[in-house]
Amino acid sequence: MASPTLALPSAGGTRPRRVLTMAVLFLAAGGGMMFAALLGAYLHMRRLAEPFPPPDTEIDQYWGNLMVLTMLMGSVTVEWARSALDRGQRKEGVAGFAVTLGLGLAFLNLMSFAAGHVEFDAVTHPYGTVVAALTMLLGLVVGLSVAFVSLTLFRVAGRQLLEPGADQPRATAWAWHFATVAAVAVWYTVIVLK
Amino acid sequence: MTITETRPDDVAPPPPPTAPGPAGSEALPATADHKRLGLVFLGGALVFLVIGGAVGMVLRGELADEGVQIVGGNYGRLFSLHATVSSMLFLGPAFVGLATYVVPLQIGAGRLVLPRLHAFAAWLFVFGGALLVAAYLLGPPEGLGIADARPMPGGGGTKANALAITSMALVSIAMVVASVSLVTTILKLRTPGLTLRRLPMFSWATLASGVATIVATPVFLGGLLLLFIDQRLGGDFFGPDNVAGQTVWQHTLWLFGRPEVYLLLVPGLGAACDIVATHARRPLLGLDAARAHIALFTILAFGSWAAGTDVADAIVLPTYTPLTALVAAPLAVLVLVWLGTVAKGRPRMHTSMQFVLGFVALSAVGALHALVAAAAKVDGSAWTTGHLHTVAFGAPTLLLAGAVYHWAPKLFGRELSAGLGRVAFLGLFGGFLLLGLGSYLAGYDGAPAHVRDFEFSSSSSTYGLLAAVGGVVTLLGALAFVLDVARGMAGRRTARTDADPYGGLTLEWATSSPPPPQGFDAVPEVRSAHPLLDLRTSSEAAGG
Amino acid sequence: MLNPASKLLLAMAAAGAATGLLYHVAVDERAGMVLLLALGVAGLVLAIVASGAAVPDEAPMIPAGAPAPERRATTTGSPARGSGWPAFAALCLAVLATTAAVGGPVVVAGVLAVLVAAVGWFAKAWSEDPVWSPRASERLSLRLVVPVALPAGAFLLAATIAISMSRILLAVSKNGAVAIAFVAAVAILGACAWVAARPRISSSAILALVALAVLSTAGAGITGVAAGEREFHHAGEEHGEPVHVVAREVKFDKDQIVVPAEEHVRIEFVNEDVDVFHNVAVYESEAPDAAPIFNGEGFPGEDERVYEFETPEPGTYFFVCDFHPNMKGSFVTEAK
Repeated sequence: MASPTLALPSAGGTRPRRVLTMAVLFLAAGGGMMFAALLGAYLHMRRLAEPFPPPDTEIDQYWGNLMVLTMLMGSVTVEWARSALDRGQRKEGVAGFAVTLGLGLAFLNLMSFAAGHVEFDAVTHPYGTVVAALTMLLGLVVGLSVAFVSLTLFRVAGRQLLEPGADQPRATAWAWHFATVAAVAVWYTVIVLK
Repeated sequence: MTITETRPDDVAPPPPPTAPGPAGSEALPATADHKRLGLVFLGGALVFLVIGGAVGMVLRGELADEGVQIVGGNYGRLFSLHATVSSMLFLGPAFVGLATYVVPLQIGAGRLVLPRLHAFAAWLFVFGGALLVAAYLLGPPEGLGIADARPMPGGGGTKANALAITSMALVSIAMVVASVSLVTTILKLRTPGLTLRRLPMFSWATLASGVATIVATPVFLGGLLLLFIDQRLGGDFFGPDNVAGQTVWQHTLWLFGRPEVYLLLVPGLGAACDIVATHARRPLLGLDAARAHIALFTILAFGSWAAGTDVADAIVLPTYTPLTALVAAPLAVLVLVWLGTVAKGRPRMHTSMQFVLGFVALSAVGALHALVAAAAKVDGSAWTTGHLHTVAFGAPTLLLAGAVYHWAPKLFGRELSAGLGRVAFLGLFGGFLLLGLGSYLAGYDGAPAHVRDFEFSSSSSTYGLLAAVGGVVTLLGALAFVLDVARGMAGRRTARTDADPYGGLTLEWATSSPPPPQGFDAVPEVRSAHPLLDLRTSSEAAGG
Repeated sequence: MLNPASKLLLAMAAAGAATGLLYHVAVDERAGMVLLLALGVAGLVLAIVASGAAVPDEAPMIPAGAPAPERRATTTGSPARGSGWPAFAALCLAVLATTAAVGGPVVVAGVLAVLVAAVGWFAKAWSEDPVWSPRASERLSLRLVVPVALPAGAFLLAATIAISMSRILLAVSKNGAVAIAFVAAVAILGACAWVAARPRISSSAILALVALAVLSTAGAGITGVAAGEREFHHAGEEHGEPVHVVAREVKFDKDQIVVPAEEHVRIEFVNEDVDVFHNVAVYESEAPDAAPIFNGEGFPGEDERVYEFETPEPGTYFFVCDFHPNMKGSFVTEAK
C-alpha cells in the first residue's frame, strides 16, 4: 500500500480563501429564487383577484417601514463590524456584531407583533396565505442571519477570526445583506405596491 | 453550594489531546470522507429505487386488466408514493452521491471543501426520505400529490399530508446544500493546472447541474410552503376558487418543479462523455462543443417556466411549448459527438458503454413517439406515462447505471460483475422499452392516465399486459443492478484492483482503487484536459 | 476575468432575462415572468461571484521544450476531520419537520433539538480553531460554564423531567397514572441501589444511564403532549350530548345542527363516501369571505372523526363541507 509522500507541496498551497462567503452567496441566490416564487404568486394573484387586497386586510405601513429601516441599519452595523475586524479592531467588531444582533432581534419582535395584530390570518383567504408565507420565509431568513451573527459574535469575543480578511465575518455580512434585500422586496410588494 | 475559584496556574496541565485516528476510521455518522458520504447518498437512493419500483410494479399489475383487482381504494396513495419517491429520492440523490465520490478525485483535491456541510446534507437526505415514505404509511396523502398537474384541494388535510410536505422540504434542502458544497469544491479546490476549461466532463456537468439545482429547487420549496399552509393550517390557496393557485402549482410544485425533470439528466450526460472517451481510448471529439452543449441543455431546462397557462391539457407537460422542446437539440449534438469519438477511437464494449448505447436508443424511441403524437394530436393520456418512463426516467437511469459500472474500481475496489451487468442492462433497457411501448400504444388507443380503472377497449388488455411485463422486467433489471452494487459495497473494505484498469484519461485514475483516505498519495502535473494520457504518451516517448 | 463557470452563469442570466421579457410580452403571466427575471438576477450575481480573484483559473505557462509532466507533482494535504454533529443536526431537523407536521406544543421540542445540535456543532468548530487552547477552555469554563451554564442546565434538566412526567401522567387514565408513578419511583430506587451496590462504576456509565432515563422521559412526555390530556370530569359539570353527523352520497344527513352556546361540544362525524374527502366546518355566515369558527380535519371515507371545539355566543351560523359547497346547513347555538 502506497504511503503519503510528505516531501511534495500541497496542491494549491494554503487553504483556499472565501469558501464560506462563496457558499453563503450561492445559498443567497437560491433563497432569492424562493422569494421570487412567492412574490410571483402574489403578483399573479393581484392581477386575477378582485378586489385585491381583499377587504379587512389593512397592514399598517408604519410596521413595514420600521422593519425595513431596522434591517438597513443592521446592514450598516454588520459592515462596520466586518471592516473593524479587517483593521484589527476586535472590540469594535464585537460591538458591531452585538448591535446587529440587537437589531435583528428587534426586527423579529416587531414582525411577530405585527403578525398578531393584523385582522386576517393565513387561512382567511389566499391573500392571507401568500402574505403569511412571505412573512414566515422572511422571518426564517432573518432568524438564520441573527443566528449566524451571534455565532460570529461569540467567536470574535473568544478572540477567534481575528486575521484580516477572515472568511466567517465576511460571510455573515453577506448573509445579513441578503436578508435586508429580501425584506425590502417583500415590503415593496406587500406594503407599497399592495 | 460553594464554588471554588481556581486560578489557571494552580491547575495541573491537562493531558495532551488524543490524536485523531486515521481518517476513514470514524463511525459512518461521524465521517467527513467524501467517499463514504458518496456511498451514503448512493446507497440511500438505491434503497428508495427498490421501494418506488416495487410500488410501480403493483400499479402496473393493477392496470393490466379492467376492474379493480389489487389496490382497492389505495390507487391514488400508491401512485403518489411511486411518482414522488422515484422522482425525488432516486435519480437526483444518486447522481449527487456519485459526484460526491468522483468529483474530488477528478479535480485532484481528494476532499470536499465543506465536508461537514456535505455530511449534513447526506444525512438530511436519508432522514427526509425515510420520513417521506413513512408519511405514506401513516395515511394517504391526498390525491396524487405533486405528480398531478392539478392542485390538491385546500381547506386542510391530514397529518400525513403535512409530514409528506415537510419531508419533501428536507430532501430538497439536502439537495441544495449538497449542490452548494460540490460547486464550491469544483471552483475552489482544483489542483494547479486544472483550469475550468480542462475539467473532466462529469465534473463540468456536476457544476452545471449543481448551479441549476441551487436556483431551481428553492422555487419548489416556495410552493411547498404555500402547500403546507393549505394542508396543515387549512388555507385555500390551491383551492378551486383561486385561479392564480392553478398556475402557481404548475410553476412550482408539479412533478418536482419543472426544470428538475430535465436537470436529472445533466450529470448523466457528463458521465457518458467520460465513459465514451475512456472506452474509445481517445479524448472526446469536440470537447469544447460538448461542454457548451451540456451548458446549453442546462439553461434550456429553465424554459419550462415559460410554458404558459394551458399546459394542464398538454400531452407531455414539460415539453409542451417549442421552447421547452428545444432541449432535444443539444442532446442530439452530444450523441453525435459520442458517435464521432467512437468512430475515431479504438472502442471496447465495456458494460458502461452498453448503458450509454441503451440511453441513445431509448431517447431515439422517445423522440420518434413525440413526433408521432404531435402529428396525431394525441390528448393527455396514457401516452404521457410512456414518455415519462422512457425519456424522463428510463434514459437517465441507464446513464446512472453505466456511470456506476464505469467508476466501480474507484467506488468498490473492483469492477462489478459483467454477467450481472448484462442482466441489469437487458432488464432496465428492455423493461423501460416494453413499459414505454405498452403505455404509448395504450395512449394512441385513447386510454386515460392516472386513473385506477377505465373502460377497456379491445386492445387495452394487450397494451396493459405489455406495460405490466415491462414493469416486471424493469424491476428485475433494477434488482440485478442493486444486488451488484450491494456486493461491491460489502466487499469494499478489502477489495483492491489496478489503479487504472482502462487506461483512463483523467485524474481519478491516478490514484489507487479504492483511493486512500486523503484521496491521493501524489497528484500528477496537469497540462491539459487529459493529464493521464499526457503522462502515458511522454513515458512511452521516453521509453521508445 | 470571465472563466467558463462565469460564462455559463452569464448565459443563464441572459437567457432568463430575455425569456422573461419575451414571456411577459407574449403570455403576460406574472408568476412565470417573475421566476425567469429572478433567474436573470441570480445568474448575474453568481457570475460575479464566480469570476475574478475568487476563482483562480490560470494554468502555469509551460515553455516549449519543457521536460515531461511530473508523475508526482503535489499532494492533497490531510483528509477532512469528521464529526457526529452534522448527522445529529440532520436528525434534529427531521424531528422538527415531524413535529411541525403534527403541530401543537411538540414543535417546541423540535426547535429545542435543532438548537442543541447547532450549539454542539458550533462548540466543535470553536474547539478546532487554531486560537483555542486548553487554557482558553479553562477560562471559558470558569467564567461562563460554572456560574451560568451549569445552574441553567440543572434547572432545565429538572424542568424537563418534571414537565415530561406531568404530561405522561395527564395523558393516561387515572389508574394508569398511579401505576406509572409507582413504577417510576421503584425504577429510580432500584437503579440508585444498583449503582450504590457496585464497588466501582465509571462516570461515563452513570452518565449514559442518566441520559437514557432523561431522554426516555422526555420522549414519553412529548408523546403525552401529542396525545393530549385525558378528560377530566369535575363535580357538578354537565356535558352536552355529542352531535352525530353523517356524510353520505355527497350530502349531510341533517341541514341544521343545534348546540349549546359558549360550551365545549363534540361532533361525531361519519364519512360514508369511499375515497371522498369531507369535513365539517363552521363559519360566521354563508358569505364567501365569512370568518371561520371551526375547520374540522378533512379525511376520506369510509372513516369517522370526533371534532371538539368551543361554540360561539348564541346565534345562527353556517356549517359546510369545505370540499363540497353544496353540503351545508345552519348551525344554531342556543343559550342555556
